[in-house]
Amino acid sequence: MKSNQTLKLLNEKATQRTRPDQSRYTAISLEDARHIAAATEQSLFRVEQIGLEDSILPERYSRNQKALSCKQQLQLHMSKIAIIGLGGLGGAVTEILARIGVGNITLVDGDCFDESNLNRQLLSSSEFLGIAKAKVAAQRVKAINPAVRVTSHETFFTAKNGGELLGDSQLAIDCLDTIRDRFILEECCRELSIPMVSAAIGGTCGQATVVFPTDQGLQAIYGKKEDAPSRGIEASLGTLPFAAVYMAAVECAETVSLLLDKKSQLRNSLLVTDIKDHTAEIFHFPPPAGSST
Amino acid sequence: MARINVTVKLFAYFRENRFKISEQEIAPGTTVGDIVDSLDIDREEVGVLMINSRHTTFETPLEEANVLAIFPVVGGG
Repeated sequence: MKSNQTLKLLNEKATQRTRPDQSRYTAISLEDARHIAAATEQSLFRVEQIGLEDSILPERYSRNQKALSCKQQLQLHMSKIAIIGLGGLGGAVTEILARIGVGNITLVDGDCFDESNLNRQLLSSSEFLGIAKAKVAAQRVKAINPAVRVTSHETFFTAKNGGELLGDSQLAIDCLDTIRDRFILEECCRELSIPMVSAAIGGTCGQATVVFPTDQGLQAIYGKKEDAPSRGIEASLGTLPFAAVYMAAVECAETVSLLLDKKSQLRNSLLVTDIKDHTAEIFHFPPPAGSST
Repeated sequence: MARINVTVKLFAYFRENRFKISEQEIAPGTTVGDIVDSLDIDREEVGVLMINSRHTTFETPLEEANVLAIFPVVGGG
């Protein structure tokens, strides 16, 4: 059995290491894991999966512990998520989720990097101007964490292609930049019965929520889809980088909670932030009138 | 008719030169839109209106002890 051979090699190469608090863990280095993948003709993803199943931790995750256990690290490794939009929010979300160890990431954006992106979009740089965001994002994921299985789509998310793009993702992260498109993504998530983690930014402000398929969702925030404005204050105030990274971090925290089967803090709620004066407030939506829940 | 008491909370740049939170005594029948107009906030810039955490509209009249929250439209990514 290939996995038995893999596990044997992992155990041979794994080392006992010590955390800053002197507690011990068993780790495998990236170099050794790569050698084992080559020797057993398996993907790095699979080798690290076999290791995690036996509490052998890829060293890159050592500082996720003990906030995350080996079992939870494995759960993240086996998770499948889709990041829709790869701008200010999506770029930072991609970076964070690749680092923490979400194992299967789908990236969707039809846009290319432009000079006006450079103030806030972490994946943009002067050398990538004119290059597809989805392509750059996929390269970035592989550079950060080569064990991640990444799928990228250089196309815009629409009602027509949405179901196909989301595929078998367990949840979608809304990093889009128009309110209309957010409603389209929400509808696709409802059809696939998966949750959506959503955030929006403008100026120094941000908001975030989590929508499950049976929830009121964005309608509780914006009102009816038909009446919702298409753009917000970002059209005149722009978007500052710390607002983008802040709300991306909020989306990632909620995503990891959901992937680890923990309670979402923002379901049926709206987090509203302004990083300029460090205010943050959560509004809890009451159940809709006439609802029994 | 007796006047009613409501709380108005502003968010983000709506706070600039205004307030974060204000207790107001208003005439019965005063609508959400009346409050927004009285604060010299452009209705076009308003994204989310909530009374007691529930989505509301400009046309809704306020009631005693309502907490009205006014957010700008935020849609960027």
